[in-house]
Amino acid sequence: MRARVGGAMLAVLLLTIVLAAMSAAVAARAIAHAESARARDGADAARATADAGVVDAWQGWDGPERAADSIGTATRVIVSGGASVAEVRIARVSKRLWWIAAEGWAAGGMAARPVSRATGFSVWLSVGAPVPSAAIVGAATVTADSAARILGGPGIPDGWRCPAVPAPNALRLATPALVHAPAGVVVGAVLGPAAPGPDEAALWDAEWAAITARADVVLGADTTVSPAPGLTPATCSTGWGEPSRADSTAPCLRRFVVVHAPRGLTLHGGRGQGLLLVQGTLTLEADARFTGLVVVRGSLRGQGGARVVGAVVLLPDSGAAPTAALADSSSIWASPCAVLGALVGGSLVREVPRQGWFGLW
Amino acid sequence: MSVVHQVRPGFTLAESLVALVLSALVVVAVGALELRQGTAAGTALARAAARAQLAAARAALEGELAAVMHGESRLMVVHDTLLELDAHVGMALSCRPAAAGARTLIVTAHGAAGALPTSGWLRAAAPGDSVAVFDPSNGRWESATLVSVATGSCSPGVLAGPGRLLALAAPGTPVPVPEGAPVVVHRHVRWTSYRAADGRWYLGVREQTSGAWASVQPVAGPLDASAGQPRPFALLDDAGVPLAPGAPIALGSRLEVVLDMADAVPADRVPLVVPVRRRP
Repeated sequence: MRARVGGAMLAVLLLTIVLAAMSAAVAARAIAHAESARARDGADAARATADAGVVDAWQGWDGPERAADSIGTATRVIVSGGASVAEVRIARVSKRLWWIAAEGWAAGGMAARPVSRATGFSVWLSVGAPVPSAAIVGAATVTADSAARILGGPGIPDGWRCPAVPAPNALRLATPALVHAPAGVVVGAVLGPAAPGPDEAALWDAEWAAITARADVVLGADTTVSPAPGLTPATCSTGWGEPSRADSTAPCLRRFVVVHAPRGLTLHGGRGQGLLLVQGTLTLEADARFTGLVVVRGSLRGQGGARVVGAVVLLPDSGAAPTAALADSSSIWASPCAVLGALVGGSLVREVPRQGWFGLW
Repeated sequence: MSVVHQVRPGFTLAESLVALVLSALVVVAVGALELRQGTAAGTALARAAARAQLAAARAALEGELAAVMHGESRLMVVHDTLLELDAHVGMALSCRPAAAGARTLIVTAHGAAGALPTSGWLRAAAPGDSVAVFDPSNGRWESATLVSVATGSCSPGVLAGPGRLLALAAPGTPVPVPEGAPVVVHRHVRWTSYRAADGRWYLGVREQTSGAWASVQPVAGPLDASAGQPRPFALLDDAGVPLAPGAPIALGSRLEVVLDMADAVPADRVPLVVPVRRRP
């Protein structure tokens, strides 16, 4: 047998080691790239889900629900966005401020350690005037026939979720002697000018310009309308909102309209919810129903079973004292819940101007 | 008598010459290969370093540009070699009510309010920063100047937890600050391409604290200076057409940042583009 002296085996071994080392280096680099890409994708997904959670919370803003939040409470919702998930919290942080924050997580790099991104959104109630403390507030002359009703509260519209508030009064007038109504028509306390607290009518007067500037609907002179809530989600933005909670799936329950009628208005039947600001004479008739706050710079006439659930603020028009005349089973029922829902549910709640959105991390 | 020829193992002269020539060829080939590999490895290393620099620059710029896109930072000047902005330092929520004229403001810090995210900081707040506080009574942002930052404690409630105490210069908070009011901190910042002591060009950032501009801090580099001073910044109109350097900044225009690192290949050159969402 011939002994062979050679280095083939050694060469093959060395080559194998070199190739293995190169392969390992290439694989490590590829894994690092994949980890980096996955982490970046995960961060993007987490951010997108957090942002979407905030947008959903804002678009699904429920006025009465948020009005019922006590300061310092937070509601929590979990939203899922495919490979990512976000926890959304809506916190009422003070009387006029809410903070919507969402933290999203998605599987990222580094052995699928979750990547987290957070977004915050600040929401502000742009009106600071207080909820009226009576069904009718103002330096007005009030007359009512025996079938009419002016009711203190707290009225709770059927099916509404309402915060606990002190029962409001029936009337808060500058001069109680100017109430002309048979016994039993005014149910609740009648406060005079010496009542404690700020002059509510004056505070609403001061907000008039700011609110009318934010009106969703501006009507022409002496218009007669029969408002409808909107029949489909697509038409809610043109309607006056659905005040009835009899059907919890009705499309326009979260629509709270702000209507400005600069030169008189007649509501002939129909229904709506929100804020109604009228300069001149507001006539409610033919079973018209409005839930929320009505501010009249002039005079109010209720007839034909018309009903306001919330409050009416009467302001002088060009120096003339305002008046309210109710007849034919028309009524005004004090409901702070309805007023709060209208304030917090409509366009008066908005994103903090200039920079409400914050990418937190 | 027979003659025995002894067979000796070995190579002939010709064989040895051939082997020598072949060996020489192999050595030359291996040497050339090694040289090429060394050059390629050097290029790859340089490219890897350039990519790492690019990644660092992107990471630093992304937060800044996201703040521009969200309207949290305000663009002031866009020149091809300079980007000046009223930059977002961070935001938090006021977590203790403060009276008008108060010289301190306590805001949420990370970890406040449990699982509710309430603050985010792109950079650390520093004296001289501008503090804006939202006033819900009139819907305006009111300004004050930061003097110092210390630890504080939030009120019990939904924002309870650790806080940061912001000391403000006189006259203090212009308005009463309710709990939950957003508080935003800004600082003047300049991003620029600059030549360092080694003669090479870098991307750097300068920040204004206490009214004075700090020295430029390198962020990434060296930049490709084959065509002179690198020009990483551009303002594009809404159609994507570059505007003249120093052109007025308008809503709807877009900020483009392109970093050309020395030793990087064109494939690594990815422009960052963000829309301008806030009027200067």
